[in-house]
Amino acid sequence: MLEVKNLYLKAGSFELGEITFKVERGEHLTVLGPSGSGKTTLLETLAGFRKPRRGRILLNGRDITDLPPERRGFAVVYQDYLLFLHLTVFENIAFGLRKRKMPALRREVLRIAEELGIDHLLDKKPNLLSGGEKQRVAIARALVVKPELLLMDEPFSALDVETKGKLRTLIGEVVKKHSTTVVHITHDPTDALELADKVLFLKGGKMLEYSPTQWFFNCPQNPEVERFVETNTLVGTVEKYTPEGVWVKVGNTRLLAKNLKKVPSKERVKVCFRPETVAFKKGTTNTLRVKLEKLTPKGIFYEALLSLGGKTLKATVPPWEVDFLKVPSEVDIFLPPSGLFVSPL
Amino acid sequence: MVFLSVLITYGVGFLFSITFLSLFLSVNPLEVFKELFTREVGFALWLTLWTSLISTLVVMALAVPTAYGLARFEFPLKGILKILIDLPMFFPELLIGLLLLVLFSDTLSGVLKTLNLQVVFTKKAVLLAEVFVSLPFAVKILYTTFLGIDKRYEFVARSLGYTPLETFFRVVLPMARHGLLSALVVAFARSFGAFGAVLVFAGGVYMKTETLPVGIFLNISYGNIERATVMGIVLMLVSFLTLVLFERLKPQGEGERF
Repeated sequence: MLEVKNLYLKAGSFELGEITFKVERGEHLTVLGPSGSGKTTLLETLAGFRKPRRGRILLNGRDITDLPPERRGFAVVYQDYLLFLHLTVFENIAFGLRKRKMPALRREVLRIAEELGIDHLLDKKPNLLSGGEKQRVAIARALVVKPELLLMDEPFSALDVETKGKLRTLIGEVVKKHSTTVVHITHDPTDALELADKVLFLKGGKMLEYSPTQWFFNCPQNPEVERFVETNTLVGTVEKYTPEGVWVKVGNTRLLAKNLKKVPSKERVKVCFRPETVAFKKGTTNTLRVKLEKLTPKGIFYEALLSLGGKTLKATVPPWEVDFLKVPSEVDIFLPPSGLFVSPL
Repeated sequence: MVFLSVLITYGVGFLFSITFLSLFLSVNPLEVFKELFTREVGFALWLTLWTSLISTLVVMALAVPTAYGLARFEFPLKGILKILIDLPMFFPELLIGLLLLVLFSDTLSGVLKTLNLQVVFTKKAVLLAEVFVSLPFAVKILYTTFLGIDKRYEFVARSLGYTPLETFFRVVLPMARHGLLSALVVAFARSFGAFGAVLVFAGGVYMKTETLPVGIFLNISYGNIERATVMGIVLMLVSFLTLVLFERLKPQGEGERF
């Protein structure tokens, strides 16, 4: 388990911190944030390439803050692959194993190369490979040493959309199979949605959010992250807990939510739901009467702007439902209990 | 664009060839053959070869860590050190010779006397002059080379368990091989052709500190044009063979696609 406590560092005029988080063995943490937010600085500090001014980094309870990179047992994968151009694919993958003087080196290299579908490239030099192939080699080189922690810095950013999708799924499967603990830097929320167990959001060197992936995308605590993930929030009061979930009163309507962080009854709470979960129909429960203000095409779907008691909400509408909607008009929307998240205000 | 650049390249090549060949055409081949085996030419060739080889090794041993330090680390006075190391590139060789002469015959004379060490006007001076002439060029080439190698290659190697020193030998040096080879060629070429600094600091003494370039100068001064020409031809041939050898050593077909 990796534990980071109150990590703070200064690099020129840039300040990072304080950062605190935990990654359990086999867990995948995605560090999300815009360019210049300090994601790579955080990764390089975890790897030991930068010294923090304050704070501690613990690995399985052992303080590794002052340990040099070569003694941490981590492996790093960068966006631009950084394969050693003077070595073949085989030698690149075997690079870390040679240092460990592994007896079954060839077998290990072949095994990981097969898993990642690069066993036919072993004799080639890196400059003859495509971007996707290079990234697979870089990941094989990192995974073959069975690292305590795999650090990935934007590993899919330099790839085309199709390769990126395929590789993301493949890496996700291989990493899970090996139970590798991962800290993965990215600016692409899709990476986090597909791979992460937890998400940490950085902006301007500050940690704005750190939560499980579902909660991060549905009901983040930080208002800025709320805008970033484009989720809807309403304010209500907890009425009662039942085996089905929690009943919350929003205005005059009672909503049943299946996802909740424990809050005492009669307490005011935040009720969140994503635009994609909104259905334009009347249900037996969980139905709100709202005003449809605007419909805007967004790619193959439409974005609906709704107002409820002065609050603006967003909903995603499939094109085949647009014909049945009149702008402006009063409409009923159904919020499925499994799509509702309740957390303290 | 292609046509123009190829045309100009041919033009430059032709101009150089004519200049080189003129020396070969100016002498009687029989005279050349006879002069080739004189003691003076043999001495000058041997002295130039071994001093150049040793000075190249010394230059590389100093230039690699210096250039790496300048390219990778931040330390006090780095800016001024970089300028000081580059500076001799702008100096005429005569000035380098004069500086070394003053340093060893005046500033350091007490120390050298205590150590009972004679440097000025000896073969040691030839070697030192060659090192001083070529070192700044080798540092410059290697500095640019190391700067061009992404530091994160070293991060990757370190994370895979290699110490900084192991990373330097296993990753940085192999990746810098083109730059290393270029620095090696330039260091050898500068040492092999060093004239002014060697003449002033080592004295250009007949059959004692007489390198090929100094020999050409001495023989022109005496009016022995045939011997000067032969020495020139020998110098050109060795230079040509060295370049051919380095070209063959150069790794082929790498680095175009990435």
